Amino acid sequence: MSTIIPIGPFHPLQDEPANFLLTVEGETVVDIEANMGYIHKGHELLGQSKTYDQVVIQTERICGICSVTHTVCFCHAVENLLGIQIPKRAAYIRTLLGELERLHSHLLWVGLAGHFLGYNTVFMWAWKYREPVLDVFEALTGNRQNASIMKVGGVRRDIDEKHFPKVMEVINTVRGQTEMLLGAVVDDPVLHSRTKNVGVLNYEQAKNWCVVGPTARASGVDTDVRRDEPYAAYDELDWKVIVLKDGDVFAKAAVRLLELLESIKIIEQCIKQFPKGPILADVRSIPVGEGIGRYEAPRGEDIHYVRSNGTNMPERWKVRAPSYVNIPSFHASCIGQTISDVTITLASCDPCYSCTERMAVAVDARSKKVLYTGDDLVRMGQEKTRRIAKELGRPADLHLTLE
Amino acid sequence: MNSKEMMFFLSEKFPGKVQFESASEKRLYIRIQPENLREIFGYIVKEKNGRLSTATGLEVRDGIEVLYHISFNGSPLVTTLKVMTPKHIPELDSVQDILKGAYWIEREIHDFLGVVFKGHPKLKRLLKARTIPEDIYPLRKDFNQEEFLANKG
Repeated sequence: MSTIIPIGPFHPLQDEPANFLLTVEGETVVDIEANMGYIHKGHELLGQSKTYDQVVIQTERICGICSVTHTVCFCHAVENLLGIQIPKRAAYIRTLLGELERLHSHLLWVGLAGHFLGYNTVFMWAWKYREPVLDVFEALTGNRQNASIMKVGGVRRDIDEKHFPKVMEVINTVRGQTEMLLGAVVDDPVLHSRTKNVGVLNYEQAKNWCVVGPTARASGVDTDVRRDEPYAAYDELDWKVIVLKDGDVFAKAAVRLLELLESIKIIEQCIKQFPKGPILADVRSIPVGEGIGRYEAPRGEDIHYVRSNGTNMPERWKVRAPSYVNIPSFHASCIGQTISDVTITLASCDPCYSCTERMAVAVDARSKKVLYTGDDLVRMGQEKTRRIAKELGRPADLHLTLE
Repeated sequence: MNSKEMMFFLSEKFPGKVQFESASEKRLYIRIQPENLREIFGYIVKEKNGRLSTATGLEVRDGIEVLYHISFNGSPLVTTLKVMTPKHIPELDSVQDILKGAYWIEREIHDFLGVVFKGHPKLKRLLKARTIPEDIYPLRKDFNQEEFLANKG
């Protein structure tokens, strides 16, 4: 007997309210279908009636977490159309803010992944570590999110260098905390049996579904826009692209944790060699033409396309966020999983989390009787971890120690 | 891979079928005919290891234009294939069986511009609000925004 389990439309695993219909036989998922569009905001149509400066501010409202990502990506598209280079100092400001954003975004994911596995200490601690990063954001730009600092041709406002010692202090603390988390994840046998070989997206599937970012890099696809098309200051900095082979949830977690350390390295170098000079190139008008901008968001490649007709508003503006290509890969990675593993598999590609309600209810396909509610699904995931922990004689939560 | 190499490969392999509109070091825009889409798209993604970043649909004076933005891992190049289809019967061949990455974006372009992708297994509503009827396409130039906002927005 096959049963259909709807996950969503409101669900803490997803960046937008989205509805996944899991067809299950017994406990095994045999088919998955996605219904999207619950909060489609019509940004592309709206942007066609705004001036370029207004669109930059509008792009920040696309995502609650990637507010630097989309603004810089739109600026890249217009700068590509214009064929200009931005000043050095502006490039470093973009790099610094982009990497700070990656730090807090990955820490957020680590916390939520812990929660879905039943490791609530990880959830609490990772979110505690994230707060100082947002404080740094506030000190540098005036806001925890939506800094409104980007502009076509550079940045709108300068940042004050007197905050740099504070930034160094925070990232040094985060480095210690990340290394501790990494050690705990690598050594924990319960996490191994809970995440290894779960939700595997192999190399061919990753290529076929065109996935990007940590989801692709965990499956052995060597892609990173920061290296492929160096923007901002990335070509002057020393860092490396993390690529792992396994494609399971464990590899995706490991890629993100290792990337945290790379981000910290990038921020340190940025601060050390922060140049002086102007922050804005002179942009008078936007000529007729088209441009494509790319940016490595915390979740992968973000791409914007802009076509200009010579007026002060774009003729067409197309946005493709990384989760848009990562989410369909569930068609490949969720089939054959058990229900208790699906929550972490859905979470593993890090669809950004803007909703906090969960209204998933499992209904018997024939009798329409409620089988599991959304809370049951999270509970099932957490119970499986506790069961394994008991079998292995381990504590029910991840053992964390911090010097 | 840079745009010069790409232009060389394409003009060798498909003489007369590709028309280079503009080329810079990192961006290449190619105009092709709809009947050659599957052949040229398949060649770039399979033999040249391309990854479909996304596709853009837009209405222009002569019809509806669909742009396939193909990027390459390890290279700054983004190759864009431009295909035009008439407004009264907008139809293109689906490429989702060549590369699954086109599965959602074709549904999205169908939602907003009404382009029918022949051979797509599930060309149903993906992003368009349920309050907008099937035959109203919000990104077409004749979409009446005031009327939409007054009635349902």
